[in-house]
Amino acid sequence: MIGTLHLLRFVPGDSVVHRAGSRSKILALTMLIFALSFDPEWSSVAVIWTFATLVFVGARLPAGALPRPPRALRWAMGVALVLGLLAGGEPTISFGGGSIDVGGLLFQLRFFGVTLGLLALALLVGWTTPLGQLPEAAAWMLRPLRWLRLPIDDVVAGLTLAVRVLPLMAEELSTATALWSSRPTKSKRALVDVVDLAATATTSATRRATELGEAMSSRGPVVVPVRSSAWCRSDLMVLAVASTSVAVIIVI
Amino acid sequence: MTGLVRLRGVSVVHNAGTPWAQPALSDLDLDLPQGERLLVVGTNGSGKSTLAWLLAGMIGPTTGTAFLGDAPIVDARSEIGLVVQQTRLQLLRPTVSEELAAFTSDVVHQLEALERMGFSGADLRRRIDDLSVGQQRRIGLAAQLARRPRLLVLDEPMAGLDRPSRVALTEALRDLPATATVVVVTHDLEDSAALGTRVIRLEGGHLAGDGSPS
Repeated sequence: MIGTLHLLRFVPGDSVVHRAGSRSKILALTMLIFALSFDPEWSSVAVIWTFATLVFVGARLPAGALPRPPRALRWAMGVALVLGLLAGGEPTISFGGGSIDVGGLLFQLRFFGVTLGLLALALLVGWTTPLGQLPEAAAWMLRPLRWLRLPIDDVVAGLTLAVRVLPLMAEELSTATALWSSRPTKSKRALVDVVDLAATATTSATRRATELGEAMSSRGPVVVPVRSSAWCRSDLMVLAVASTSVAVIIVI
Repeated sequence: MTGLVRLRGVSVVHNAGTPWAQPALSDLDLDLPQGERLLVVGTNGSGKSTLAWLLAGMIGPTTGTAFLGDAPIVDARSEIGLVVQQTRLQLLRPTVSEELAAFTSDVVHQLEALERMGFSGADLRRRIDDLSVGQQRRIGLAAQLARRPRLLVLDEPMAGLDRPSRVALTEALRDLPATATVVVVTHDLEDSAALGTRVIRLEGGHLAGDGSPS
């Protein structure tokens, strides 16, 4: 499932969004996440999706980059919507001779709008930013915390590890899922198989993390350099659009 | 020998229709008779593993046709055994006996497969995580044999194994019944030459050679 989302896979291009540095994109992403998290209303969801659409078009990303949600996820979302509808609540919609309470359904839809909106923003950063630039941006973002004597280098090293491991984990999970689907006796023990699959994925992830952790330990402390180059016009454009979006969320 | 596998004009493009589309196999024709032992060799990125997954029915051709007997290979997955390089990913149950039971409930078939791979009935109680990489690979192979597949596909079976494990695995594979149709994907022909009666070489997704291992 993770594999079909194409997480952190760069799409080469020469757009304003591609030319913008990783720190401006991470900063814009952080601003929007904060704004949406503190005010997850319909208006905020609309602003986030408008912003995401603008960036997608502005980055000239092909439609083929859009993820195709796996059937299991679509089913889970459908079940959640049905449960939301059954939960009832205000407002009430009247039709014909009857009425239906759609408060729960609207709440569920808004929840999907927020979570998928955040996922879309993260995907956009991954599609327009080379993977290797992300730890550098994180180091820049976390730099003020050094004044509090927090171990920022360790945090960034951990982030670097996570960023490198994620595609490998996604590939191994896809492989394990494909192999599981070819096993003959699985329908009668579906829950047990899911647990076994999760345990295998955890074992695989732990092994990968251990290997990379040992490799990083043997190299000694990892200090990711903080880029000190000037902001370019593309950076300012990305930040201006993101700031405007945040301002609209706050004002509305 | 009768034809078992038939590939015609097969091309595979990973992530087709996305910006990350990557051609892996191109216009491949291949016939595999019943009982043949085929070695597939080539450098990294030549399309070997993609061919293994295609022959195992885990992926379908982007263009062309792939048949096992009279059925498309993707519809015949239950008749094909696949052992991958990272065998731990396919050993989902905690113990050897539970893993084998996932493939057949026939205890006789389980023990036969286990003994064919150099284990005994006492090994049924062993935990998967207590086994070495080489032993895990042989248990993965035993599990696939227990289901009595028409076609067995092994992707880099010797990778990551020490010398004794390679010898043990080679002997186990050479002892398979003569009727078993086996495809071994490897980058190291020297180690696996004894396993095959025919070898094909892939280069950049194309068939670049077809002959005998000698």
